[in-house]
Amino acid sequence: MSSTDPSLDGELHAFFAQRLAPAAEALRQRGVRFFETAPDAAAPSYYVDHAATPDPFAELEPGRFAELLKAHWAGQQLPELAELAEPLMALAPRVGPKQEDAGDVSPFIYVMF
Amino acid sequence: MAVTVLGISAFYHDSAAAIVRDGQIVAAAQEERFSRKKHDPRFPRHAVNYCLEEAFIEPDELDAVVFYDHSLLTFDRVIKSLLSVAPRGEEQWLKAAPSVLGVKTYIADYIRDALKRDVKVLFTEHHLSHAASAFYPSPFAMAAILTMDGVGEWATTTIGIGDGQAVRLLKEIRYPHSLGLLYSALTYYCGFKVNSGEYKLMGLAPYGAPRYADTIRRQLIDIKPDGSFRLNTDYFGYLDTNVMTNERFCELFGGPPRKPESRITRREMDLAASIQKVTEEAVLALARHARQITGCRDLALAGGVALNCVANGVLLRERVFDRLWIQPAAGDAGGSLGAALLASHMKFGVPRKMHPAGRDTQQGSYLGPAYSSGEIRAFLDRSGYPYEVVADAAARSESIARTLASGKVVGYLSGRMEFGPRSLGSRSILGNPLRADTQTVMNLKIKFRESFRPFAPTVLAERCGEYFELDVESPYMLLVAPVRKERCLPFDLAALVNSNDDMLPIVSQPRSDIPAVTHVDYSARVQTVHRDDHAGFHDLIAAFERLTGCGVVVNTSFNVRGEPIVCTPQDAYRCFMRTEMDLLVLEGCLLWKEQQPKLADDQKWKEEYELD
Repeated sequence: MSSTDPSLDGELHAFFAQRLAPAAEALRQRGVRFFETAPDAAAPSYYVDHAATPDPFAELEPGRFAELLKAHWAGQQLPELAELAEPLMALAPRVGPKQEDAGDVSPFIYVMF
Repeated sequence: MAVTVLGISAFYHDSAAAIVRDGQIVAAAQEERFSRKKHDPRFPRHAVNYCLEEAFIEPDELDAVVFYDHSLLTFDRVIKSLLSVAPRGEEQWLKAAPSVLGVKTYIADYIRDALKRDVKVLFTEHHLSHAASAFYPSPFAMAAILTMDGVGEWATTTIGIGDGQAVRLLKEIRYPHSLGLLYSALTYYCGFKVNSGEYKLMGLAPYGAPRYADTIRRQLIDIKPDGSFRLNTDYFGYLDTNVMTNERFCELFGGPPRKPESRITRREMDLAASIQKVTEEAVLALARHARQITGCRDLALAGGVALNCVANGVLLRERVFDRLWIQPAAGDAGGSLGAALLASHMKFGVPRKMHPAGRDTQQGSYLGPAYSSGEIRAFLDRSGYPYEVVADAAARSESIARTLASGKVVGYLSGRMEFGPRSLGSRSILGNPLRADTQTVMNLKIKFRESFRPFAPTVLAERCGEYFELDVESPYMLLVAPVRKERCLPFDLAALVNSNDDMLPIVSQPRSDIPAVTHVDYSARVQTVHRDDHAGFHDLIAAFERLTGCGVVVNTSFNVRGEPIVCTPQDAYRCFMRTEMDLLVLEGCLLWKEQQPKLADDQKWKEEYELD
């Protein structure tokens, strides 16, 4: 799945360094955590309620993906992420595979897919 | 007007399509069976075409296409996971970006382009798809639902309830805390392939002792009394590197991961036993909580962890619920079916129809393509392969049964292909369970796979209790049960294992009067076959019983290691000729190995398939 094009890797590297890493730092400064990473002996339970929506079906039209993503993150009070929605989607046509990838998803990091 | 919905799972692994008309399952199939690429993640164009053909419709007659996963929420999770560890994790970003920024951002358009129609495309949640696949085909009017896998969007485990035509999720455990990921991490560490080797680890577990179970409980996972759990991610690599485990994990278990294909040692056996034990504890606790919060007497299961048939057997024997039903395509392929069923009932309001006799509506999971005798004979005639037509079904069963009774191995293609990872008598390799050498012969000369791996029995449903301590049907080979005590023979596994890491002497020791299907812990992964589900297969086993007194056959998937299960007669013939099977049955046609011409230019066939 990884890019074999050095220029794409360069673009991805730049995006990570210039957009993702600063956003991560800003979120960290604000004390935002997306999940816990270790057990908590004092917690009575680790379950969370499922966030049910009235309609379990969504229409995710590609032309609205950035807008929906931005609204999703803005609704969670995450401006650092909301600001990333459009740049991420602007990046997509350049780094997303032009053809469907026939290779296996890396079994080692499949949570990323 | 009928409501027809196409469900699709794709772009991760095990792509599949399923079609449902008025709430009834018409067809379902995995793409790998057509493309011949194991766990094929690509858009399931062949499977979609097959489903549309089976339903006799054009794409514009579909009421909707439903994708099994909410790609925006998955995108959300991937980005947040990266930001949680940044500036670490860049390596992951470089590897994952082309995928997450690629097709997953324009799935709806991709589907429309593939179908060449402006169809309505809906998205639902990954675990809701699993839950729907578990509940709707089950025989239960109302049931608790438990789904467990690696990860969906955020949920990794959910508890829900199905009632009539509604499915609701109530509670969940979220990424990065996941039973599936924990099991996969151990799978990787023991030298097996993640996403396919989990089954091997489960099969290895009975050879070992759970001496690492306390370490796993103390360091890797905290399971609360209510079954909820959390991992200590300090020991895992999947948040910030490109591998499942890290140095701390290796230190915990005394060294680096086992290299794939290297010798399996006591450490791997004991790790397998340990993670299996902890998984069973977690599944039991989750199920107890599901019973408590739903008040339901029956449980429906799905998600990749539900393919752990050993844990399912423990769950059954503990009687947490009165009845269990497990979706046979419990992994992501089954999400296509769940998505289609969910939309049929909850979007389009199709009333749910139960089976009139109280059985499930999965139709034995025989939901794939079938091939007529005419098609098969045309193929054989065109290719010049010698065959014998035995049109009379009873005579055919007798002939095949005689072959099995003599210790020979049979490739068997009969009826519609199975949906899900198990062969259930439509695309199966069959053997004689009474012979102690069957396991070794089938593993090494036919499947070309590891010698320790056990084979499953298929038993006449009405005879099940005579062989196994199992008082319910197990039509999908998803329950492991003990072989009846009076059939078992003395066998000192500990002494054998301690004396030698080589497993061949162990697996060759008879452990019961059906040795080929009795695992080293006297267990068996049972399939019961009901005549209503597959008359031909049932009658074949009945014929074998008349000859031998044994109503059981060995049943393993019709493929070699790394190959998808065969779909067509052509696939079956190729596999037959590449292995030491003796007889190939293609519906009414019988092909004997010694009469066949050698396959031309086929010396390098093993290079076609990546080892699983």
